[in-house]
Amino acid sequence: DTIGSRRGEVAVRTVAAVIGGFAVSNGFVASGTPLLMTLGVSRGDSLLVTLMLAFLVFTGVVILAFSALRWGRVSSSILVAGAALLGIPYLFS
Amino acid sequence: MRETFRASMGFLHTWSGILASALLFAIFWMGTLSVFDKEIDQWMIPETRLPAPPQNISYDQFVPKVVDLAGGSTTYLYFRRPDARNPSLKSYYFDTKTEEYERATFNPVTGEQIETTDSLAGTGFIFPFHFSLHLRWNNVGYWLVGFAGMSMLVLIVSGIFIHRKIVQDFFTFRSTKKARRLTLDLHNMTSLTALPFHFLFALTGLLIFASIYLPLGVKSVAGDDEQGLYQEIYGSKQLTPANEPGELVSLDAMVAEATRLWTENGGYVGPPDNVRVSNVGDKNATVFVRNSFPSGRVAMNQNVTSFNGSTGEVIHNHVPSGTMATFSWLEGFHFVQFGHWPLRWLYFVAGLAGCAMMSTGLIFWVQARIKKGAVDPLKVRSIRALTIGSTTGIIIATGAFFIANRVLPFEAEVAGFDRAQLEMWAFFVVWVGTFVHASLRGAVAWMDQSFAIAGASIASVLLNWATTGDHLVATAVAGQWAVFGMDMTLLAAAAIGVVSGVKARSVTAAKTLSEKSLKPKAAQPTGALPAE
Repeated sequence: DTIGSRRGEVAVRTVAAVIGGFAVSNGFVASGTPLLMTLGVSRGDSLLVTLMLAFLVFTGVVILAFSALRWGRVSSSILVAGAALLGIPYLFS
Repeated sequence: MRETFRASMGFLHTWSGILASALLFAIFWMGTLSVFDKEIDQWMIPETRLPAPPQNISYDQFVPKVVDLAGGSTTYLYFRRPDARNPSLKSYYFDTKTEEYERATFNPVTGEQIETTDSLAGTGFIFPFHFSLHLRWNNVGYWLVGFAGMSMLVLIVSGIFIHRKIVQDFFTFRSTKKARRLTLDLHNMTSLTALPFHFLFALTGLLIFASIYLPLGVKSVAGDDEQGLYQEIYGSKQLTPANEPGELVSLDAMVAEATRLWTENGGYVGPPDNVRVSNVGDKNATVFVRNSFPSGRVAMNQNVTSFNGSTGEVIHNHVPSGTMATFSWLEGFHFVQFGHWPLRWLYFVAGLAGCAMMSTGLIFWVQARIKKGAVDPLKVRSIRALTIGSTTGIIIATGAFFIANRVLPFEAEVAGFDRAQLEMWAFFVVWVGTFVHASLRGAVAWMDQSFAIAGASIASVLLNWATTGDHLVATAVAGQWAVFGMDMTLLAAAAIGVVSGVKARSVTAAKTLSEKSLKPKAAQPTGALPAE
């Protein structure tokens, strides 16, 4: 466990937390809103609900990114989830 | 990460704290002052120290006056209803001569325009500093504030996970113990006592600008119908301009009609507090009537009635949905425009607790590093200077802002900067100066700057008396509670500054002694014997 690999670990976790977190929260809004709309909620109301929850999701992602799990696995999972949540509605539009 | 979840959260908490605390303190400090931004306005713009205005205001008498100021015609008009906290009538208009948005202030009783001191004051400098840092280039200020807000949520959650005995920490304040223990106790206490407040403030602040901070999500939902989406959520329907001339009919009649509609729809929310007209002079001018901040409830109000400006007929009366009501409550919680004085003061005290939470966090980090033996390296010295400049420093800069406001002549102008800009310059120049001072003086700067806060506060009160004649007795007798409250708060700040300065002096003396004893033996003067 050298200092170099430790710095690398912190860097990767930070990228997952900040960029991955941003992607996941935006993706939560992008995917969550149409999902709520399928339940009959209006577009405006669905958006407001996902917006209100998105910052809590972001916080959760940051906590997760720095938790004691294996850093390579947790970081890549976050980034993949973010890309998926953003990408799927884009593909459907 | 670390071996345990708690240790990982300790790492996260420490490093997000180092990155964000200075920025967060500035935002929290300005936010705390913004609770009383309208009172600060009255203090800094003495011409607006008016008695409480009458209940019924006629906007129609002011329309021709404002249009006249705008150069005979205008495209935009805005009127803000005066109230006890904001006793003058404020209007904004698009000036066709300068092609800029200008402000005009009127006495609501006499109808006369008030020639006001050119100052951004509380609502124009302190409040926008809080949410945008006055950095407009590419919304950088908003993004920095957003980063700070998110960091605060992470700091709070990770901070909770670090605790071993969270309930006990509520009640632990060992003032007789060493400085480091005292600092940590103070940090825990100020964090935990106001924990729901701190968490909700960070969250609701982010929510207010959710469309800026979640742009990809919002764009994905809006598609190419962004206008439609906002109209659906906010309900303000604007008419497309007809490009034909039209005369604006009675705004007062529209205000009365909006009030009637709101009462009819159940849940009367009070008289409208602002009227906005777009495309003035066009046949399809649109008038928006709102009561954005009802006095008697927390929630902001997204009721808006749109009128056709030249006929006075209702285009749309928007009733917000239940989900919007929840969102509005969260916004209203943050804006604290409701009329509840005990709560308002509680916000102020909790805000100061938040500032103490952030500064003690930074101070504790410096002290912990020193204890570990890192007495003098650049890292500790620079974080300490950063802490001092961003805490006592910004408070001194605020004092400089108030002093400049009282000292600058009415027509002041230097190098093309108008008086309001010169006040801002005073703030920023002094603020930078406090960082320089802290870098040069080291830990002693705490004492220096605490005393400077006391000096600046007392000077502000005396200058207010000298320049306006409104000393404490005069304002109390006349019922000028905004000015009285500001002067009293300044005096309280002075008292805290003196006490802190005295305390800092004794702590620094003790610390310098212990620092000297921790210095490596090699640093002793050459005449001494070599180390064992």
